[in-house]
Amino acid sequence: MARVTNARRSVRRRSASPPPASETSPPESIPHEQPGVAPAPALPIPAAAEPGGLHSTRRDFAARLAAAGERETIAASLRPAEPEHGAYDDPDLVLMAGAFDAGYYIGRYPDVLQSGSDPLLHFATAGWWEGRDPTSWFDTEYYLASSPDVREAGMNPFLHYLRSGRAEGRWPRLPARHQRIVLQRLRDAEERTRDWAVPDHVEPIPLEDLTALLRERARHALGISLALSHDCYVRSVGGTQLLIADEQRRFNARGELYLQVSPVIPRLVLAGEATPFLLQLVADGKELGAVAADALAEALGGLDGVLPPTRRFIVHSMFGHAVGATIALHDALAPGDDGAVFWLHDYASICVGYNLLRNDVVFCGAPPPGSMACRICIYGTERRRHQAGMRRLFGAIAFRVVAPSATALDLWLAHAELPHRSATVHPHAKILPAGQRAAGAAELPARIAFIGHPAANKGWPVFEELVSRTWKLGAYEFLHLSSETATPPLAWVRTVPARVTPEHRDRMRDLVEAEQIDLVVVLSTWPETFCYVASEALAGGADVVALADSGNVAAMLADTGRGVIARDADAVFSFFESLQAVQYVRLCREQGIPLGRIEHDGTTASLPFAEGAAALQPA
Amino acid sequence: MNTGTVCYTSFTWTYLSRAQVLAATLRAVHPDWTLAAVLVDRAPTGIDPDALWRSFDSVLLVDELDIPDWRRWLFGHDVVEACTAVKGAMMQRLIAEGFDKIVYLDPDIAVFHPLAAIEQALDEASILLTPHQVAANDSSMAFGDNELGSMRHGVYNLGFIAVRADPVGRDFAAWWARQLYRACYDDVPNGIFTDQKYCDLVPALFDRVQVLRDPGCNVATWNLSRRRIEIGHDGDIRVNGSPLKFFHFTKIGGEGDVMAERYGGDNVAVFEIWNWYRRLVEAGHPPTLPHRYWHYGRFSNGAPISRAVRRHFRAAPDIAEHFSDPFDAAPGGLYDWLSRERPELLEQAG
Repeated sequence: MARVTNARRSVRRRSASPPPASETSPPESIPHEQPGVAPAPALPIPAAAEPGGLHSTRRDFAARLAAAGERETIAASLRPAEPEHGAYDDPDLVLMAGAFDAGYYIGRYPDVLQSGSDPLLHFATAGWWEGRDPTSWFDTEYYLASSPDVREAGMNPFLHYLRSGRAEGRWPRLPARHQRIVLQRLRDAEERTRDWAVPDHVEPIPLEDLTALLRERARHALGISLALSHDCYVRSVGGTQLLIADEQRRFNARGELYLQVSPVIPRLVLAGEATPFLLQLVADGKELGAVAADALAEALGGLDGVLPPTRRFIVHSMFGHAVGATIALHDALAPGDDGAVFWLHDYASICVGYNLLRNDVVFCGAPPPGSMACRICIYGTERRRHQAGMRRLFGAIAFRVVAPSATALDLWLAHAELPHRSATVHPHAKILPAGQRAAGAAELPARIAFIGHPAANKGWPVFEELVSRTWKLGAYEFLHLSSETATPPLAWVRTVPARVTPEHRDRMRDLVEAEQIDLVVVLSTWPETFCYVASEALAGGADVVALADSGNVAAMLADTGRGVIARDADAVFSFFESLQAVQYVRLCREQGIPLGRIEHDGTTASLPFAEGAAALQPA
Repeated sequence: MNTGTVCYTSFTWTYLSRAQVLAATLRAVHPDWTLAAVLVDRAPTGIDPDALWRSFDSVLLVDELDIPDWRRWLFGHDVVEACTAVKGAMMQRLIAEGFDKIVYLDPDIAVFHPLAAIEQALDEASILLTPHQVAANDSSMAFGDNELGSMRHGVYNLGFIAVRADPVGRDFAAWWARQLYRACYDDVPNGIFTDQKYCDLVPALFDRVQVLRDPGCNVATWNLSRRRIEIGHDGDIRVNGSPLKFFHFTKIGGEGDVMAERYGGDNVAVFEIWNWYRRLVEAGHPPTLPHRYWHYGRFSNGAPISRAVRRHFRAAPDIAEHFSDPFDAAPGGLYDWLSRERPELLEQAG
């Protein structure tokens, strides 16, 4: 068994000879020279932020904002289509006409346009009864639900708001909407997986067959890796799955055997210790079937004379895995002092809420598990059990901890309090220069894209609100580049189907270039450990708009000088509503739009200490 | 003989899961305090009464409180009036049992950061009160919902009161218990609102009364308009910068939701806490408990006791005197008499 030390002690021990450039010691001495992993700006926003809670990392933008008159000129050049409406005699209609957004109304309710009705008259006579909204900022159903007096009086809620509700301080729609909606739908980690498909019956491979199978595969291998993750990477597509596929190919190219196991029953928590614990086994990208964890450990242990000396035990995710079974697998493989690697693809080793969003809405900062914040968090109770499991795991296995960004590692070192052999930053990808984007796109509308899964923790609700607030300006065209269409589809957003596969790793990057996207909004509300979307955006020629708490995203923007960091969602809305975003896009075009090529080399196979087989041989 | 600090509450089975949250959250920060409860109810069949004992050190039934002629007295009260009416008698009893400091908390309160400051304040003061509002509202709606509510129902929220077992504390407990025995009614037109409106008089009638203006105390929908809750990366919860001591979830699931929306609206932390509490209460609610169960809400034959019957009963001392057990629905009892003489009172809702 390897000697387990904490990082602070291990650094002292190594102080006589400096660590490799990519290895890190405790937080205060982490080097930041890796491309794309510059330190995040101080949160929430640097002191020198431009007004409105925004900080541009692109040079000269502050000066550009100060220059008078540009936004007025842009605004004058925009001619948003305003549908005609009649002149009204009724004082109620006159009052509503001043705030009613006819363009929004017919855009959201095409049946009104088709009927030929006057939009305001439609709203006043039928629309509000039907729960339709008169503007993007007034929610008819919410107002009635939150004002029982208005509901009971049978009043037109919009009229009530304009007459008195506004002065009384009533909310026109759900305040802090994008967070409150998430809170309303909150479910704990167990509940979230309750609907996931679970096989009815699984017949594990018998021990004798498994042993024979592994013996055959290991016989000529020059090395062996056993990797754990939360799902079967050859069946699903996502950032981690693609990375594992890369990892497998790279090890295979060296003539090494790559085994991957994932739990047969997927979970977003650690599994219990009941046996048999069933795993899905994949060898060199081929699904072999289900195996019992103890049988796999026994089979590996029985191959001692056959297994190559170069052995690695790699954890990409512990979700759904049992700690005891994991330790047994590690011990059976016996990868030696340097052979156990734990990846920080997320913060699941700190909390079962793996992105550190308290109640899925606010970055929590990973406070102590006994804190009041954890008490009221949906993950708080499970965190204690989860943390005990993680302590047991890290106590038994001397992991080399690898983070894809310095931001992630800093956070982990400050809060995980888990013993480890070493801590390293190793980005998943690098952007290499690849020329400039050719001019040609019309200046307006500027093209604004959201890339990927329309999830709350990726900022989809903020994007939704951005679109509803600004589409009518006529200054922006909104696109959604994704394999998954939002449900319901968002009006005023053009969906561009895009599926990233191992064969088409750069599909998103290529689409950003082909669609001539100006800005990609990466509105993650948690400190991303590594953000492929930001890399794809920057390599494809788009600058990025991100939130301050977005971890590696904000750090990438600081490092590349190609983006805007907003203090919060309101600052994002203001950036677009005030047309500063158009000024920003103009500046980008004037300064030239660099393109990049993404080099995906960030797997265990490319870790400095994994390159030479000698370094990994068991002691 | 007891010593130290005791915290007590008063409730019925319907509020069991709320009271359990109170007990668990208070124990988490004050494991040394004694937790006591008055149960103004009887367990329905099929409910395990041990659930109560697991949460509290002592549980007293209303008939164990030495309230004179308690059944006739209790009959005149609805559930809210009854649960508040016993608070004075229980406070006297706890003083008599030897506790040094007595804290009352409503069952729909949850405790967060330690209440050490409250305990310490009782080293100097004899009586502690928390006002509904400690900062004035500007808008007419907020004034109407909040300050005007305080002017009708009482300046101080009696979801919290704390006394020291000194002569002033004893005098107060005796005075309060007398008022509550006489009239603990929701009768705002006559200047009474259960146990609460009486306490507007306390700073005038008693020495060493301290009004706690800490915004971390008794946070509730009636003061959210002037309190901002923030949850720090250190894990602490603060209200206008002061650690959150206790939150009062008045009328959660009903009117409280509307008021939380109105005054907590854009303060996401309010709803993190509100939803957390609701989850706990729902999870802890006995699944077999009948909806709005209250043993003393019905005659012995199961017929509901309407508000009109209670009011009639307490307004007519001769009737009260005539029926020794007004709950009894046997022939010759109050129910029998009402069925013949005043059936319209029995049929009224509420």
